[in-house]
Order: sequence, then structure tokens, then C-alpha cells
Amino acid sequence: MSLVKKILTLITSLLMVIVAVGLVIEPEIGYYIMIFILIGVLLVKSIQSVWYYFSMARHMVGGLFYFYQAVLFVDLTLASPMLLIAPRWIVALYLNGLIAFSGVLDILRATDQKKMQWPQWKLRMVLGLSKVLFAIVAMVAMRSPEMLTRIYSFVLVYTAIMRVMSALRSENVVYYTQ
Amino acid sequence: MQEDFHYYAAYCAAYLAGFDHEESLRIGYADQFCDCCTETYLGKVKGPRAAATTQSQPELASAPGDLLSIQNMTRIWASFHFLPYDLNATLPGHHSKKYMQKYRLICKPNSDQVEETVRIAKGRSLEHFGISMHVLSDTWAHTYFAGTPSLVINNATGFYDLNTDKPLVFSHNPTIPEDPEKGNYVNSPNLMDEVSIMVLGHGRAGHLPDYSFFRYKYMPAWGNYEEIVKDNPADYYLAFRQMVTALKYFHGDIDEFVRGVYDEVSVEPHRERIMAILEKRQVNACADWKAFGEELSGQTIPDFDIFAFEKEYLDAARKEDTFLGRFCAGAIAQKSMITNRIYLSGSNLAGVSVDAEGRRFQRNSN
Amino acid sequence: MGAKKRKIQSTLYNSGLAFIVLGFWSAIKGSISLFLDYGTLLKDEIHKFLLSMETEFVAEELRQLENLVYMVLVGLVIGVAVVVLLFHFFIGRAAMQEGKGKKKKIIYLIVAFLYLAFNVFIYIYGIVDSGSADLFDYSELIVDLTVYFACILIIISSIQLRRIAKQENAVGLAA
Repeated sequence: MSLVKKILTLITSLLMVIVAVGLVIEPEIGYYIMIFILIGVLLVKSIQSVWYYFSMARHMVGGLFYFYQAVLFVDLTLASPMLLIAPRWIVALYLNGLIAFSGVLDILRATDQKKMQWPQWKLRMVLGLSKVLFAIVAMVAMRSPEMLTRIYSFVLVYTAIMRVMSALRSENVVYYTQ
Repeated sequence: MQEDFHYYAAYCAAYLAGFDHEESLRIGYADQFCDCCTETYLGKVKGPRAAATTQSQPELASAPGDLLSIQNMTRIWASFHFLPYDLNATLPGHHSKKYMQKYRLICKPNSDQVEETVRIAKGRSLEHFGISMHVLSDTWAHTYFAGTPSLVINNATGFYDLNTDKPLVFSHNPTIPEDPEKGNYVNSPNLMDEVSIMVLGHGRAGHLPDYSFFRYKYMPAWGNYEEIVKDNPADYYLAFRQMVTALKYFHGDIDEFVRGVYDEVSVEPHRERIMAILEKRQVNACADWKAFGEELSGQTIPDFDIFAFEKEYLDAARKEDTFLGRFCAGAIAQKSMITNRIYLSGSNLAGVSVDAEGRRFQRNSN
Repeated sequence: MGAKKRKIQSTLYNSGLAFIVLGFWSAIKGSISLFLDYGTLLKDEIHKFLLSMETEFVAEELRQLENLVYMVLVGLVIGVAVVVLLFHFFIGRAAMQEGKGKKKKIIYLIVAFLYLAFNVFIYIYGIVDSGSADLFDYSELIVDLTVYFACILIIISSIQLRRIAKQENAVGLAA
């Protein structure tokens, strides 16, 4: 990672933590900010998927699949402003659904790693199960938008920490001697 | 390729090239050690981690998938196992810069890079000869795959066994032992992620490139729906002959190593025996190659032991005079050369390369 | 010829898969947006309609009837969505199977062509009838156009594959 990219990563991670704290302090405003952030993330993902298709996947065997995938992502993004007028239980379902889905992916990867006898599988399985459990408990126990924004703040802080850890890894430079 | 070829066959090639038993053992050992020398192992013996020539599955699994780890992976795998064929390759039509950087890492035999690999080893240690033989032989086995994680290059589909005339169906469960008689083969799953480790090298083809008996066809992701036919017995035989040529060059019997030249004098008398080993339907040909090597030299070839030279290294005052020390020096030289070439071609996939003498960053001015 | 055939098969398979998935997504999204955007409106209209009827209802009876009518309409909408989904599944599945090398009857292509023609006709009729494109639902445009694109690719790819199969048979017979 270049120095500039490391600094940018640290700045965005700090902003994520500040936003997370802000969401907890002002939950009503925080609710709408959270939805806008979700829409923003979806927008970035959809642009990435479109870019990936046109720059890389269109040359590969079976690349048409990634075109259709990109269209789905773009439409998901265009449909997400619906969340602003949707009842809050739908937003909760959507957010917790995303967390649960991420947990299911972790569980599937842990299963693959277990088959390959990698030692990391236990940690990933615990992570995946806790995400799924967290999402279920949050859906059941949620009584207010405040709880929803607290959940989202927690997710933001966790993501920020992971990004900071990645940015602080040292870089190898390989020396070449003639 | 695996231990049968990297250790035992390399021993045979070295002996046929004129090296004695002990020298051939060292060359074969260093050749096979390229598949064992991980950062974890080097950390254990307090060796230089920059000399890592491979990555274990846990190391790959724990890599975070960011640019740094991808560059580290590419440095290792492209330098030792998937030597790039043409770093200036072009394609008709428009392709993005990122796509071309990955396309140019595709491995094939008889490249500029393999000539340079052999050239920089000349006059150095037996361990360095072994490293260069590993690199050379893998260019034949790992043809058409790249040493960087890439879905658009390394994905592969449509596998068909030309020996049994049946389509190949893979399982993703590596605990099931592979069995050619039952048609049980394992490959990595397609996670539809461009930089997943599942699409590093020949993961999507499983172990097929490493089995000398296999003849098969498949569609690589980069191939525009053309089918590639792989004839492993023929390729492995050419690899063996080319190894003998290179080793004769190291031994001083020939003045120059030129790609595309395959030894006939020393290898041809043993052609039938070698082809019988290569074409036998077995996942592990160690016993056959070992028997052949022991017949050639009249000496016993010990089983490969990853810890054979560990104590020597740990106890030595001057590490560079030990087997592991010389191996690390050779590995760093090889990795630096390839990383520099990739960097000079305008790609950042293997990270930056600095001229240690001039202390400046080099970049292709074209 | 081999590479071309494989490319067409891959296009057919992926387009068939997209036809099913995008159709499914379109149905879900359409249903959600219908009830979010028009749910309250629909209830108001049902209320007005029932009040305008000659029969007078007690408050409780009115509420129950409103709910019943609402549920029936919801059921109808879901029913139509399910029928459309079945069309998508029939066409998409057949395309995927033909893409994998299975021989399929031409009926699914005829259905695909009719589906495409009908939908395009509805779009154009809607614009012409309203007099402008103002009522055109742009938010649905991307998925709709992609679904039609996938349908066109299915039809063209299937025809190309059948033509290649005929040529191969002719070569085989000649040999």
C-alpha cells in the first residue's frame, strides 16, 4: 500500500468511528445517515462490479455472467432509496439480513477451510456463527430505531479497525542486484 | 510438479549431466526444497523471510487479500513456479492495463526468463542449480497458468480426460484421496472473486498438471473458448531433456544454454524407461524414479527429509556456508531478478523493485 | 467451429440463468415498491369505493370488508407475479439445459419470442397511449432492458446452435 493510500485509509477509518459515535448520540438523524451510508456502499459495489466486467471479465470464458451480476448490483442500488420510505422493520430486516448473509459466507468459507485442514477455520466459524446469532438476536430484541443504529455503529467500528490493521502492515521491497 | 519429479527425476537428470551422487543429491534436494521453503519455516530457523519460495495453505488462507499480500504471492509464485513467458505480450483489440498485466504473467516454457534463470545460476552453488531446475521444470507442468490470483486468467472449465475419453468431474473436498482408477480428482472451488487464492496458479485444474501420466483438454478463461490440449508425458519428457541440457551447462560441458535445445545424447538411451515411468497411471511416481536413479548411480537415494539441513544451519556461525544459507541466497537472487523484470514491464503486481546498487526506482521508459 | 459453438452455449446458459434471476428480482422489487408506494393509496381507494356503494356497512363490517378486498387484490397481484415467474423459469431453464448440450424442443423459443414481443408492445403502447414518456417507469428500465437483452440472446443463440448442429450432422452424413 502506498503512503498516500495508507493515510487515506486511516482518515476514512477515523471518519467511520466518528460517524459511529455520532449515530449513537443522535439516533433519529443517525437512522437516515445509516441508510445513506448503506446506499453509498451499494453504489460503490455496483460501480466496482460494472468496472470489473468492462475492464476484465468481458474477456474471460463465461464473462457474460459478470455482466448480469453487475446489472443486478446496479438495480439493487437504484432500489435502495426505497429504504427511506420503508417501514423501519424492513430496514432492520435488510440490515440484519446483510449481517446474517456475511455470517453465512464466513461459515461456508470456514467449512471449506476445515475440509482443507487449515487451522484458521475455527476462528472464521466462530466469527460467522456470531454474526448470524447477532443478526437473529438483533431482529428479535429490536424495539426501536436507536437499537438499529447502535448495531450499525458497532459494524462500522469493527470495519474501521480491520482497515487500520491492514493499513499498518509493513511493505516488502525486493532489492535487485545486477 | 511434485516430489517424484522435483527430487528423484532431478537427481537422475543431474547424474546424467555428469554430476556425481552427492552433487546430484544436493541439486535434487534444493529442487524439491523450493516446494517446502515457506515463510513459516524460515521464521522457525530464523532465516531470511525474503527467501521464501512457496506459501503453505494456512499462509495463503490467512492472507488478507489486500494489495500487499497479492504482491507477496505474485513475487513467490511467479518467480519459482509460474515463470512468466512474455512480459511484453500484446493482444488484438482493446484490453485494460490491469488485464494485460495479469495476462503477461502466463507461464510457458522456453521464455527469456528461463534463459536468465539458468544464466544467473551459472557458477554459483549446487543449491542454486537446484532452484533453477525447479523453475525450469515447472514451466512445462504449469503451462498456461499465472502465478498471481486472477479469475480472468486462471479460471478453467470443460476438463476432459483424453486417456479415458470421459469428462472430468472434480470434488472440492481435499480429504478424499485422488484415485485415477475411480476418477476421483479435487480442485479449488470457483468463489467468483478476482483475487481469491482459489484462482492462484493451477488451483482450478487441481493436481492434473502435476501428474505426469495425464493427457487432458480444457478451456482456460483467457483462451476465448479455445480448448487447450495438455500432453503431460510429452511435456515432462521435454522438461527432463531440457534439465539435462541446463545441468550440462552448469557442469561446463556446453558453453551456452539456449532455450528450445533438448539433450539427446545422455537421455535417449533411457527413453523407454523414462516414458514408462511418465505414462504409468499413478499419483506418485517416487518409487519408480528412485529405482531408476539408484540404477544409474549404483547408490542409495535417501528419502526427502525437509529437516535434513536444519541443524547445520542453526549451529553454523557463518550461515552462508550452509546448505540453507546457499539456498536462500539463490532464492533471493531468483526472486529479485523476476520481480525486477515484472516491475520493468510496467506492472506493479509483484510490488516495487529497487536497484540495490544505484538505490533508485527503475521503470521502463517505453 | 468448436470455439464458436462453446461460446454460444456459454451465452445461452448464462442468459438463461439471468432470465430466471432477474425475473425473480424484478417480481420481488415490483411487489415491494407497489405496496410501499401504492399500498396506502389502494386502501384509500377501496375505502372510497365501499363507501360509494348503496349498501351501508357498520364500521366493523367495513373494516373487515376493506381488509378482504385488499387481500384479494394482493393475492391477484402475487398470482400474476407468480405466473410471470413461471414463464421466466420455463424459458430460462430450457435455455440453460440447451446451453449444457441437451436437445430442447423449439416451443420454449416460441414462448420466449411471444414474451418479448408482448412486453415490447406493452411498453410502446403505454407511451403512445399516454401521449408522452412521462409515465414511463425509468427505475425499472435497467432490469427490464437487460431481461429483454437476455431473451434476445437466448433466441439468437439457440437458433445459431441448431444451425451448427445441422451443419455438423450434414458433415457427419457426408463423411
